[in-house]
Amino acid sequence: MTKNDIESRLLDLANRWPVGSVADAVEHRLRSIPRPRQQQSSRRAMQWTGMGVAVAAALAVAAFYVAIVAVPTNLYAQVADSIRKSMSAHMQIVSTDADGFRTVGAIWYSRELGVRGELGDESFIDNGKQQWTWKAANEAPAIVSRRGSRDAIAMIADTLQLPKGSDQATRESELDREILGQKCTAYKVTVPVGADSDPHGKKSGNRILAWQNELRRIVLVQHEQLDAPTGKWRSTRELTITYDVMIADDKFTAKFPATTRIVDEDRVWTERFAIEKAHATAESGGLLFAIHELSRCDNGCYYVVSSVRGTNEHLRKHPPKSRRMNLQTTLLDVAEQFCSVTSQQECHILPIASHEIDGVHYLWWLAVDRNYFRVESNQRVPQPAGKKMESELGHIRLPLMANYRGELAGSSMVSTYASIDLPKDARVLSLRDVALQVHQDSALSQQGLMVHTFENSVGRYVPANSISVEQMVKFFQSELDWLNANDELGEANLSGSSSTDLRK
Amino acid sequence: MRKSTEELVNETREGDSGAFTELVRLYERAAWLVAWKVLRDHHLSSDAIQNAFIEAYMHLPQLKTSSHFGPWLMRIAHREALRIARRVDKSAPLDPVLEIAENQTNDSDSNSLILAICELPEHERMVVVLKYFSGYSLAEIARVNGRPIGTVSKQLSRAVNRLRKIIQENYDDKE
Repeated sequence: MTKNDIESRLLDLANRWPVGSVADAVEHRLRSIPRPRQQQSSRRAMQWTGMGVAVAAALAVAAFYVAIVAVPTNLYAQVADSIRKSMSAHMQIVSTDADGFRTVGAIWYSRELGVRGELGDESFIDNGKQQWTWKAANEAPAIVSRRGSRDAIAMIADTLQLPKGSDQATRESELDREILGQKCTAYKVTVPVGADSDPHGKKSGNRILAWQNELRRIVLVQHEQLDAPTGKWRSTRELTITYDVMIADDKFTAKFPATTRIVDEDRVWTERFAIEKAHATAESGGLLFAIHELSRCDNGCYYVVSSVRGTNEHLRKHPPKSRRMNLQTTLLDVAEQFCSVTSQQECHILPIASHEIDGVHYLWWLAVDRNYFRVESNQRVPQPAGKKMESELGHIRLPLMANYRGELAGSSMVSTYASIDLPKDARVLSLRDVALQVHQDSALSQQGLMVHTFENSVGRYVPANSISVEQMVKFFQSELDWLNANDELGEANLSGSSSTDLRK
Repeated sequence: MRKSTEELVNETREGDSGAFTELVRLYERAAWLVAWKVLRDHHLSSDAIQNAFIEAYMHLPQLKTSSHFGPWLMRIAHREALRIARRVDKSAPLDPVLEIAENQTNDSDSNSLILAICELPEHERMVVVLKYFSGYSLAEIARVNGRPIGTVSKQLSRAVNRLRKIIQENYDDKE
């Protein structure tokens, strides 16, 4: 074996490195960790030592004040930190609506074994490598398995929906009390108005109170709303945390009857929408678009499933922020495709459904060629057609658009085109086939697709499983009829609307 | 130009989280090898190094000399791998021969090479990882490690010779 052999084996191993980078995962986890405080250098410490007893005493008093009176500047980080320091924790969440109806949820955490949550009708176990979620038995027979969060603390802290922003805490000594046998100090947490990370405190008349024990761990967080008529504060959500409690190991064990259907969501989704298998990809503005499915429909339109994600460079430059929507979904804000009816020069775009996973936004949509006409003597008179998507048989040019999310939200829309060759004899779908396909894709994820509907002048997103195939077909047809009617050339629409969001 | 470890550590200390991500990218493969040597499991090793990087970040203020970040991180990764090994009841490293025999698949070549790299002294292992797995030039490795190019070149040459010897003596006849 020569030196060259070794080098070639090393390079070969580099190309087939057995695991992916952990950089993104580490970066994500760091978001829930407060920045470490720099220790003073020994020289600086020596200088301080030499400054005399009086100053040292003053510093000691100040240090005491900081240690005892200092309050968390970020409730999210404080709670995450409190949990991180414990071997185990039990969290109870009680939500109370305006009618006084209470819902109770609980989360158990073990540093060694993982997390279990029972929130509403949903339960989950996450052992760090694998996550299982299920709903009440009579609603969903399947258990969905997906990769674990790898960061139990961030997962819990996100699920608790605590403000992440630069909230300010003020001491409320009159609210100090004993909680679970521990003497606790109270703080009022004020979140800047409009802070997007605060789901509860941004409206005036809301406040968050937090109590910490002598170990500076948060033990109670109370979201309160001011009851205007009585002038009293009403608790809307209460989170109680008990640390280092005994929790039976089997609480974290995923044991299901042998007959239970377990759906591996990650694998199924990845296989269905692998970017390597996409019909076409196009890059623009740091975003990578992909066409995963393209079919002709029997009414002349095209059925498309597309996705958008950030390129590696874009993600490095603008690291996406995560937003936990619920147990199944943590959104990574990168970009989203057009989600309302839009008209381009060459086609109308009718969004059907959308979904997002790991910062990738998927859209199911219909693309409809524009067919301009004039009404003369109550008769439709076709006008010269504009540029068609399939100007050359078998060669289709699709428009793709997306808006940035996160820090770039509100800047210009990104648009590009993808060209796809579609065999002349490719399967032609009916609208019913399209609806069936949407239902099938929705079943791949427990969360399901959100179907876009438009009723009584109001656009709505509804879970795909709540709308039947027949209802969906009816909706498609009425929307397509409405879009076709928009192709009438008149005073107000001489050239056809361009890039117009017709529903807004 | 790539930044040195010292620069990246100092920037992290000043609050630049992007600099820490650069450190992760720089050291993750070397740290993974350390963890894999203990755990012999791709995913557990990835978990171990994730935890190690978090641990390193949290205790960065305790690192006295910024340029010593690499060896310090490797110790944390090793400790974390041992902790995970205890948890998953893989308390002792497996016998390399047995492990290769168990994995007589298309990965046996890679496994023997990884095992051989794991047996290199730490400074040589780091040079091999940066050169072959992270695509750094000799000048860049010299800058990252704060060593003259000549030293890095010698370390690399010795490392490759040592690898050849380890593989020939321990693995080639068993593959």
